[in-house]
Amino acid sequence: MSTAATPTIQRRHLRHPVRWLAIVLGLVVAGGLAVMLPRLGQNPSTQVAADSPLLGKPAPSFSLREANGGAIVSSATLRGHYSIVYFFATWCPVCVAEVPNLVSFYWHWHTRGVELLGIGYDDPAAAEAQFARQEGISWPLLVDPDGQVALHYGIFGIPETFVVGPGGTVLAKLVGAVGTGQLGAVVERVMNGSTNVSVRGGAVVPTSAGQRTGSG
Amino acid sequence: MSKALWVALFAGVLGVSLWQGAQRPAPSTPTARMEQIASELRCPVCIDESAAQANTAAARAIRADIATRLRSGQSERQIIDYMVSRYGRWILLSPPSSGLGLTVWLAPIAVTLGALAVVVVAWARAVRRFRAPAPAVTDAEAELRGERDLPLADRTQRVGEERAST
Repeated sequence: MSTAATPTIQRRHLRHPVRWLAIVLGLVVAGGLAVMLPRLGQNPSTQVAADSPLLGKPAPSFSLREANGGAIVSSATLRGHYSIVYFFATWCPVCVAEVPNLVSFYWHWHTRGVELLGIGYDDPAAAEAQFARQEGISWPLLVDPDGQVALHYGIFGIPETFVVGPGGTVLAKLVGAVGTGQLGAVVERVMNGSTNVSVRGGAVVPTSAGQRTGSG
Repeated sequence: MSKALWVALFAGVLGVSLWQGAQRPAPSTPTARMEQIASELRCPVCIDESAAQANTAAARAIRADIATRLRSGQSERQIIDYMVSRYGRWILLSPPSSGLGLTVWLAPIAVTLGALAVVVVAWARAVRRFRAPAPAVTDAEAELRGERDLPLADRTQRVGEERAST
């Protein structure tokens, strides 16, 4: 009996300003929750880290001593070369596991003028020097004793790798372990003119994993 | 007290509360200034923890860098801008009060005001209905209005709503 009139009543009810206001408020709240909830507890070592604000900007300068107590290496010496600056730690299993990839990268690309530099994160010089000997690393491993260079590069986790152009501009950033050939592919891209390349690689270890009480 | 006076009083209290909430006491010592700035920044390697609270190497480096920059005479704004230039806007624990971030600040206020408007309108309508109850609608009147098939309660409600909306 009354079913024929029901749609009319419902339409009238929707015209009611209070109901419209409630619907709009409900949509605003639901939209806000949909945006905010996925962000809660988000691990920063993801695309946020890969999309570094440093891309396209001058690479932060540094002057750090080699872990074996040798020379002080300055970022200025990298000018004129494509260079790879990667942050690692000896206590980071992902960083240790990717050394063979870096070794093969270095042997292939160093002869083409590409420099490779490792900067230890929250790692004592002695541990880095021993690590270099054990793994047969022939590129410089540098010590960043107070983590300031890592801060200037905006490091979220390790390993993180930056490709710097001959003019000193950050051209690419890779977050996580670089697989065999991945770093080389990125270098080829930037040598062919690509800029602002951000790549999410393999696993990332939060830098807090190596926290040692009393360090820093 | 008239309705307009109540609304003005409420708006005044809300405005003063928001203004008071936005005020922060100025830190008196360099360490307090450093901690206040660090409390506005995320620890880069933590989940939802500030650089002032965290005891990670990254948080310690940020605190040390803030202290150095304060000693060199940089302002809070300059220091925060520097951190944003390294880590992006993600490093800010609170969303910025400009651009898209402004919506995050304004949304709760808009929702609160909207909810209050809903309550006020609903209350006003209820009062109007209470003061002027809808008359019973006879079958003859309903026939004229084309609502003969509606139950009495629905007819009464429709008449009441029509009166309330005029």
